[in-house]
Amino acid sequence: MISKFHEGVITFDESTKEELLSCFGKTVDDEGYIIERDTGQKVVTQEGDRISIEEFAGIRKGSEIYLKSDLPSLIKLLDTIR
Amino acid sequence: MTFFERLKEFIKIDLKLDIHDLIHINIIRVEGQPPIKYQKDKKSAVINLESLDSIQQGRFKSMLPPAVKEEGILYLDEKVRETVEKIDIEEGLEDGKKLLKFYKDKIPPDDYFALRASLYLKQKFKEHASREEIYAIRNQIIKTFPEHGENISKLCSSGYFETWIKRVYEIMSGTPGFKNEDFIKRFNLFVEEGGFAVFVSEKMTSSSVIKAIEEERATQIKYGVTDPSVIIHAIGRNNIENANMAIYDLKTKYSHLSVYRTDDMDIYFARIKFN
Repeated sequence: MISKFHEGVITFDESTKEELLSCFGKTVDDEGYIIERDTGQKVVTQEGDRISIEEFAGIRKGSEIYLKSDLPSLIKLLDTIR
Repeated sequence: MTFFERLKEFIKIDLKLDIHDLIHINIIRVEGQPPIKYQKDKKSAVINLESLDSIQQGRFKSMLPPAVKEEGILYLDEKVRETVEKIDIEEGLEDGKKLLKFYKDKIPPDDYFALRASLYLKQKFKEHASREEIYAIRNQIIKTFPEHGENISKLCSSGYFETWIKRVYEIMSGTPGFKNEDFIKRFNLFVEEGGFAVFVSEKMTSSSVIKAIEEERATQIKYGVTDPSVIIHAIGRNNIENANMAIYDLKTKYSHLSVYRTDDMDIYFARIKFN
């Protein structure tokens, strides 16, 4: 098991993905992209990409780094948590 | 108190279950399932929001933001967690580990990254993953690595990183005055031309090299390439001789054949244009 997972990990599945976003002050706009619930501001990855609800993979770290679920992003994530 | 300590307390008081070891929770909403399922061996629990009352749901949900923002606990899609674990396992297996160790710091960082992604794609092929999944991963590689991603994944699937490219590095690095940038020039040639290449092996005669070249040309024409060109790679004198003989014979058949070739340290590269 990856060391970071040993420290603790919270996961969600398809049934709770969108619902739990509101816990973090986020929601989904009409085009299916994640936005700030209060301001409507787009949520982006560290690379500056918008994130659709389909490709939303999770959140990393205290400053809320939003993750996408494509393979290269997951390999990058693996490198930060190994 | 940490998130998992608060969570265990919540589970004890609200869900009447005493848990000692917990490092993973998966949050679902499914009708007809119990509020919690605990797997002691995995130190993992599934929390079903559908089976919590609204106050319990509110209390539980309020624990999540500080867990992520203040404690830095990872918050992931469960499928993503599984995939990341899988990539980690596969990269730790003997073959993958050896290959990645070999190419680390030898090829450009983006290409190394594309190789890692391609190894995962190759594994998916072996597992007979759906066409949809294969195409999705392949497109992600191409999109993230537009320069070399597609050809790296083709060369990786065909095993060239374990054979041909590795051999080229071993030959080159054994020569005095070797610099890695010289290898990278060769590597870039492979990767940029890899899609339309014939690799001459010991089993091939000059006739079979001609056949392979002509088949490659025919495939390009079939797919609408108006100016077909074929790359030939060969290592070792015998293979190079067969490649040169094949080109010599092709010149008698194709009057407009033009050839660019390099032959250095018994590593041979030729580009044939037919028009």
